[in-house]
Amino acid sequence: MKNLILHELQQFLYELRLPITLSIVLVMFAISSLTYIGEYDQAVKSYREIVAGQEQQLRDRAGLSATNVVIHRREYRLPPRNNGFISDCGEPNMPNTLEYTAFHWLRFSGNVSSDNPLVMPSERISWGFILTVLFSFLAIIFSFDAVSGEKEGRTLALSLSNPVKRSRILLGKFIAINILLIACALAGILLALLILMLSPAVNITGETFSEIGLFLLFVVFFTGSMSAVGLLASVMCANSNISLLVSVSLWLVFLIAIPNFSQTLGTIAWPVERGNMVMFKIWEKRKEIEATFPDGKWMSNGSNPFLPQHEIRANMQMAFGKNEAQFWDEHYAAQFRQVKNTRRWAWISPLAVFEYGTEALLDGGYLRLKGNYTDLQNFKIQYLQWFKDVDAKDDKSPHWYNPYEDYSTTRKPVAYEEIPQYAEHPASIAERLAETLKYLMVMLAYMGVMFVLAIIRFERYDVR
Amino acid sequence: MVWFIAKKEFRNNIVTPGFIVGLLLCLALIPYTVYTGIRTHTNRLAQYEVDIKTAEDIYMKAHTYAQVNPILVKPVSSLSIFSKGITEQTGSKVKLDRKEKPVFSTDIVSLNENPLMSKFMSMDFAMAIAILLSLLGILFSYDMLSREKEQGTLKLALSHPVSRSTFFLGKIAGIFLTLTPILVICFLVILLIIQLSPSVQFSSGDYGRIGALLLLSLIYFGFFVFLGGFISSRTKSSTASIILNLFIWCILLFLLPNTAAWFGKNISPTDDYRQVDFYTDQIDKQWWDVQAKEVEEILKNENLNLFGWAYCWDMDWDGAHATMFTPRESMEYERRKKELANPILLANCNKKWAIQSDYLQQIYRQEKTVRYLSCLSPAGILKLIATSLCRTGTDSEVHFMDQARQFQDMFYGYFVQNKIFSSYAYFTPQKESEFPNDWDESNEQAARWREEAKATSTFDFNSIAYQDTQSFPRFAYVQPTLGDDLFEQLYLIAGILIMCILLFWLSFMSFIKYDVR
Repeated sequence: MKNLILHELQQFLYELRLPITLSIVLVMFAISSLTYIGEYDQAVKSYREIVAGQEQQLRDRAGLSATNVVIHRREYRLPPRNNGFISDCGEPNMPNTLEYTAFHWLRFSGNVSSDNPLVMPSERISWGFILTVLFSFLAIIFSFDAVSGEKEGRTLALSLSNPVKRSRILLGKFIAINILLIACALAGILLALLILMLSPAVNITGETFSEIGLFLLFVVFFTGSMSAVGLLASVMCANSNISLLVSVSLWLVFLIAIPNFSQTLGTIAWPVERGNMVMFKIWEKRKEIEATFPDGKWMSNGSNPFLPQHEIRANMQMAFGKNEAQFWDEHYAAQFRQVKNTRRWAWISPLAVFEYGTEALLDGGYLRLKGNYTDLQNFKIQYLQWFKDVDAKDDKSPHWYNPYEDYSTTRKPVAYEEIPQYAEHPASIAERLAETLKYLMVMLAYMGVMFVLAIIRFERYDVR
Repeated sequence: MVWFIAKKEFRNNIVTPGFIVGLLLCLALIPYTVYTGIRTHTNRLAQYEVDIKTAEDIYMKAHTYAQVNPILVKPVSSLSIFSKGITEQTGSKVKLDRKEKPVFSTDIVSLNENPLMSKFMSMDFAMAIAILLSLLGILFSYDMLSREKEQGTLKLALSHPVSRSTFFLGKIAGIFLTLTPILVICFLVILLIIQLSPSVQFSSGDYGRIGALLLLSLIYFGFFVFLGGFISSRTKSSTASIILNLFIWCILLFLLPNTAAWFGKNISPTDDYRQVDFYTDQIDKQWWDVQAKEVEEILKNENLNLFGWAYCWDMDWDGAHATMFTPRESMEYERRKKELANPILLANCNKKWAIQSDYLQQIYRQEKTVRYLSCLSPAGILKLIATSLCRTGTDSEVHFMDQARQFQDMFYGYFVQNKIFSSYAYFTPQKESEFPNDWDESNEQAARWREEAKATSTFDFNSIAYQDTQSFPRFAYVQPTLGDDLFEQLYLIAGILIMCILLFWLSFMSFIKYDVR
């Protein structure tokens, strides 16, 4: 077995493919690191600026009153991940801020056109991108002629005439191809890491290293399943050029067709109402609610908190807020459902599985946003409770909670330090591993099925 | 003779697995992209119709002139079904505001759906064409010579009294001929889909653009055919030829465009827009802290006072934008305030623009860098010209925004010229002679109005007459013609043509000297 693998590796050494591959891989990884450094630096800087601005705003509000704090739309901006060079997890196209008040408000916002809207969209060059696009392609390029090529070179009959099982020969080829691919990936990753570590802007911690380790595990499974596809194509076709054609077509289907098709399917099968339609419905319902409250509800008097109209309006505004929250919660639930179901369909493509797996591993992108959304829902309960406690202590307050105005609750300033702060709970490595496991299993199953099919076909392969 | 060889080549090619796989891929992907393009287009068109109506209502249903802040709606191009360009990141309209010039268009239609569906390699017709035609070009030409050589037919063919150049031209013609059935079938399917969807309507100019797009794709196809032919004549075996070809293909199609764009953004960075916001906020602060107080000071010196409004809606920086039954003295205060405030606001708008336009220049520069870098790949060139032809590119957006900003100057210029800012009609539907003289009269008028109008809610003003806005300037977007667009993209078209010719010449020369043994 060892000899088989060594022999295969030796063969690759003399081929044109290897030097081309290695140079492309190294260049791509170097570019990914170089661009990441500048970008990360800027992202951190602008994140700090934004957070400082938000803090100042909240401090000003705290100086006014506790009510002014809780009706203020606070923003939680997701801090840039220090492992973003592994994969951006689609974050550039996703909201990166959650807006909330202690009352009903919780919405996504931000991003989207923070970048230059005039530049045509492109993918970020991260390790994830290089792996999904380049390595899946390389896996095919290296495996497509493993069998059909030897047949054309007339060496297949010879090697099969040795007293070695056919399945072992195929396994030998499979392992050799993967060793080669992983070696290329490792070389690229080491180069990228070296560049990253030389830069003071990027801080690579022990946790990042364990993430990189797990990422590599994923890479093994990923190249494994893609090269199994190539091998299958190789044993299915008599001619190596045809097997290349078939596997490149499959690659295109995996890379482009399936993600796109599933997207369209998702929007048709699990439709999400358009945002402006939701807004319209909220407005209609709001009018209905408003009509149930008596005239004079809009009257207010800053110097008299106990004005009876304040209570009426406080109740009305609470009803408005509740109505709004209900619609948006439903809207977001529909969005989450759509993403979840769409992703299930995309599982047909190992490229998509790899992408989602990386996302789960890094705890980024959609998963992170959704996790924060859920956590913030819980935080809001504590936040409101805090306000109610503060308000209860003020005997000059009528305690009529109004989510948009400061007429009828406490007007005493509050210390900034007392205001509850939301903290993100990033998933621990173990938790992420658990989440990642299902993707690993899918990939493993994928690799297994493809490889077994290839063996079955190879057992009956006509070597002439 | 060329025709004869071409026919033979065509017959040979059409039964190859490459042709069948290519046809299947094209049939699976190209109609799909048109279908999704039409879906998006239909959504956008629905939004456009709503917007147009809203924009018209702003003129027709204004109780006061101050409420006339026009919305300029960007026309939706039916051609966007072929190339999305930057339409998913740019807005669909511009709302005019005398305090600030529009920097970008607002209200991004695609965001209205699900912003969480991250679009990995989201595909449109132009991208499908870029991927598939290049792949087909390579598949048809990678073994142009090496296959015949491997099969031993090359020697035979060349032993005939046929010049090598005729033979080569015949081969190339054959390859183009092979593409015809694929193109025709795809075209028919697309035509069928378009016929079935009522939202897509093409003008004759649009057909010209589609024709230009088709021609361009043929040049693009040619590029890869010649590339394949060149590599084929330089490699020993057809396997080496196809591996090399596919490597180049993968780099040109998938790696280079992304890397170039990413690299371009990095080497030509832009300020954060928040910095611009910061400066414009400073100017706004200047207004609230200093200029607005100065205005109030002047009003005080002129002995004008505000005793509150009776009915008031639409508040803005210069006070109420709509008020009724307010006593005469307060009305005069309001009028004078707006007369004083608006020239300052307009001047501030220009000050802000100085900073905003600097920022826009950075944005343009970055876009240019990315654009030039992406021209390293023929796929990038195809995409750029396609967006220009389909009016979905940067040029089209910039063109629209420039006109929108010009219109803004013209519109508020009209307000200044016709002294609209200092008229009563600017903020009240009531005539000057009808103004109440004191609060008693005001209450009386309000009670009478409520009696007559039977308003359903506190803010139901349906019964109040609208202002006449017939003479106000209207926005009409002048789209660039096909000629303009082609002229803009001339350097790109010339670039891809030159590359194509160069490769043709290279593969031709290489074939002439080809060793047939």
